[in-house]
Amino acid sequence: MRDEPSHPRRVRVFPSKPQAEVDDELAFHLEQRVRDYVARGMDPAAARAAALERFGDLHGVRSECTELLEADRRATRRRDWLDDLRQDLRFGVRSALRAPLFSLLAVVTLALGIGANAAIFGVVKSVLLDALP
Amino acid sequence: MFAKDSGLLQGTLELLVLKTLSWGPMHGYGIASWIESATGDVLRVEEGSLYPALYRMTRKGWIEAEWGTSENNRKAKFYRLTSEGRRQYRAQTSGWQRLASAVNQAIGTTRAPSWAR
Repeated sequence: MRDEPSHPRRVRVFPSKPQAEVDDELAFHLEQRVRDYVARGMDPAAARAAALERFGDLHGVRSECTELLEADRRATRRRDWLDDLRQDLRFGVRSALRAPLFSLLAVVTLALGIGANAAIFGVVKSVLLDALP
Repeated sequence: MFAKDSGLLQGTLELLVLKTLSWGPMHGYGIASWIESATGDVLRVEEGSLYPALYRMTRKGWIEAEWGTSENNRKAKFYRLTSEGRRQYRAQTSGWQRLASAVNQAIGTTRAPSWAR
């Protein structure tokens, strides 16, 4: 029995819900077991019952696996988010250092803009707002 | 396989899964079948307990899962060893063999200790 995945490394753009993924996986297992029993001459209903019995606590396994998969997904998301943030920060700093004159210009522009705004607001506040009784 | 009262440790199941996957990627059903036949059907109680172990091993980064197509053209989740899993496999195999031979040596001793003579 050689069965390699036929789509190795295929990235799932929209990962399925943990519950659905666990259900798919366990359903595959039971289906294979039933198929195996039927191939050995059992009738389908008896094969199904035997497969379930051999599997054990289906509900327990199902909820335990779902919980584990959800926790794994959460951890992956958190890690991806942090990785992205780190990458963006590094890229930003590197770009700023590569063009120091441009960066300086940007900083000066921002400083003047914020300063001018504050100054104008100071004047407007004292003339228009504070003058009202 | 490995029901709670079967007296077999979780670590044993994990080592057997690592061993199975050292042959190549396989789905849960294939792993269960291989372990059962390779151990002479001794470990064939409650196949379901294999799956939580697989998910835990995925979280530990020893194995990774991806969906592929089984030999009868059915969508199935295949597990493969990561490089960390390969390292674990080697370390746990030698650890298990040391433990097993030490226990074997002890329970196979025929010479009684001095206090029992």
